[in-house]
Amino acid sequence: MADGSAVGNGPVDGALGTSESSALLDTWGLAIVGGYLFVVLGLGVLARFARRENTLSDFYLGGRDLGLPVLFLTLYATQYSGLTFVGLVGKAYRQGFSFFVGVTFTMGIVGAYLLLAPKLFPRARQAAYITTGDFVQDRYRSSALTAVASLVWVFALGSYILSNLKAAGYIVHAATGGTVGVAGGIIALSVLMLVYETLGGMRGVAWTDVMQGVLLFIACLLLCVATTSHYGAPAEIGERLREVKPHFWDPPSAHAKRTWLSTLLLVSAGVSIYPHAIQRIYAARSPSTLRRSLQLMVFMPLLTMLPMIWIGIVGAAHFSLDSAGSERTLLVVLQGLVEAHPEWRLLVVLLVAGIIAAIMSTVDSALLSISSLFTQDFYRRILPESSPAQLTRVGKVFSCVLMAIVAYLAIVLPRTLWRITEIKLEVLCQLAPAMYLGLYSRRVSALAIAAGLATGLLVALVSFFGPDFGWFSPKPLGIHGGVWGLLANVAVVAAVTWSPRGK
Amino acid sequence: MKTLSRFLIPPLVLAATVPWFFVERDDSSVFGLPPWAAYSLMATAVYACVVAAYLARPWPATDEDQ
Repeated sequence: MADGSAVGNGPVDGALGTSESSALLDTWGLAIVGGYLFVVLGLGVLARFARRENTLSDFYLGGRDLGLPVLFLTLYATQYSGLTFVGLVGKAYRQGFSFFVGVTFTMGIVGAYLLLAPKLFPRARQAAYITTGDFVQDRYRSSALTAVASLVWVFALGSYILSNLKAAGYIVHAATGGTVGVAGGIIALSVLMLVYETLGGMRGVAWTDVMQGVLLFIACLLLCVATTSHYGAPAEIGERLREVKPHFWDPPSAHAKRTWLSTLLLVSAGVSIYPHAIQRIYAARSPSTLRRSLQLMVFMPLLTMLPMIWIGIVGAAHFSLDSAGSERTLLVVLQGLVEAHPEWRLLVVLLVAGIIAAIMSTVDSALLSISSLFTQDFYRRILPESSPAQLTRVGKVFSCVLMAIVAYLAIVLPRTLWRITEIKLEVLCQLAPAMYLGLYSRRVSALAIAAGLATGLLVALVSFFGPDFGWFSPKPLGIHGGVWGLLANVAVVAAVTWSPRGK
Repeated sequence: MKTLSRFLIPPLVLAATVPWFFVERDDSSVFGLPPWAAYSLMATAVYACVVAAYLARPWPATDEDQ
C-alpha cells in the first residue's frame, strides 16, 4: 500500500536494471525463486480444499475467521508493495534524511485504523458487510452514492494493480536477463496470481501472504544488516554524507515541512480506506485479534520501511547516480555488496523473491477486492436473486477478465497515460469523509457526502493537473492536490450538514 | 471523552513528527544523523507507542470475543 505515489513515483521503467544484459539470478537462483512460486501456488490449492461453504463471506473474507498470525501477516504483506523496494529506495537516495517521512506515513495508516476499526468492525459483523460499498449503502441508504464510491475504489485499485504488474514484468525481465521479456513476466505472474486467487479466495490470498510477509520481513532486515556491515554504520554514513551531499544536513524549508505534513495526511487518509485493507478488518476473527494485529503493525515500518530508506541513504553516500539511475539504487548497492562478498549472492535471490512477494501480495489482494466490489456492489444489486454460488462464480469470471485487461494495459499503455495512475491517492482520499464522518456522525447525509465528494474530486483533479497547463505551480503552498480536495470536501460536507436545509 | 482523545492525541503526535522547530543548520550529529532527522525518527517511534497504547484500550462496547 505504501506505494510512494503520493510522493511522486511514477512507473518503474528501467528501475530494475532492465538495461543490464546480465541476469540478476543464475540457474540456482531461478530454481529457488521458481520453487517459491510453486509453493505459493500449492498454498492456493490447499486453501481451495479448506473452503467451508460456497458463500461470498467465505470466498472474499475467509469466513471472517482470520486469526492473529494470519491476519497480522496478511495486513503486513499487503501494506508493502513492489514499489517499497524500488521507488522508495530511489526516493530516499534523492531526498536523503527528509525521506524518513516514509516511515511516518506508513505508521500513520495504522494510526488511521485506530479511528476506523473500533466502529467499523462491529458494524461489519452485525450487518455482514463484504465490501466497502456495503458500509456506504448501509450507512447512507443511497444506491447512487454507493455506485459512485465503488467506481472510485475500482479506479484506485485498478491503478494500483496496473503499476504493480508493470513492476512485476520488469523484475522478471531483470532476473532472467531478458530471457523472459517484460510482457512474458507480466503474463506469467498474472496467471499464477489468478489461479491461486480464484481457487482459494481470501483464504488463499491470506495464506500466501503469510509466506510472502515472512519473506519480505527477512529480506528487508538481512539487506539492511548486510549493507550496514559492508558500507558502514550510521555514524560513518552520516560523516560521509556531510562531505559528499552536504545539503542532506540542511533542515527542511517551511515549504518542505508543509509538504511533509501534507504527505502524512494524504497517505493516512487515502491508504487507510483501500478496500482490500478494510476487508481485512471485516475478516478478523474477533476485536482482540484485530487490535493485536494492528498493535504489531504500527511498529513494522521501523523494521521494513526504515531499512529500505536507510539503504537509499547509504547509496547516496557511496554512489553517484543521476535522477533516472537513482531508481536502481537498491541494485547498485547490492551489486557492490556481492562483488566484495560473493558468498552473499543469496541476498540477490532473497531480494528478487522479496520484491515478487511484495508485488504479488498487493496485486492478489487488490484483485480479490475489486472482484468483490463488482459482484456485491454492482451485479448483486442488479440481480438480487442470484445465489451465493452464482455470485462467487461471477466474481471469479470477473477476476479473470479484469486481470486480462489490466495485464494487457500494463504491457501496452503509452507512457503519457501512466500519469493517470499517479493520481489514485489524490482521488481515493476523497472517500475518507464518507467513511470517517459516516462512522462518527449520525447527522451527515448522503447528499452532504455526495456534494463533498464531487467538490473534493474537482479540486483534487484541478490541483493535480493544473501545473500541466501552467495554471499554477505543483503542490500549491507545498500541499498536495488531494489534500486541497479533502479540505474542500470536508468544508462542503460540514456546510451542507449544518445548513438550515441540512437540518 | 475517550473517543475525543483518540481523535486528538495521535493526530497531534503525528503532526509533531515534522521537524517544525528546526530552522538553522546544525552540524552536530545524533547517532550519525542531523539533529532534525534524529528528532523526527524518535518522534515517529513515540507515535508508534502512542497508537499501540490507544489500541491496547478496550474498544467501546465491542470488546467481546465471539
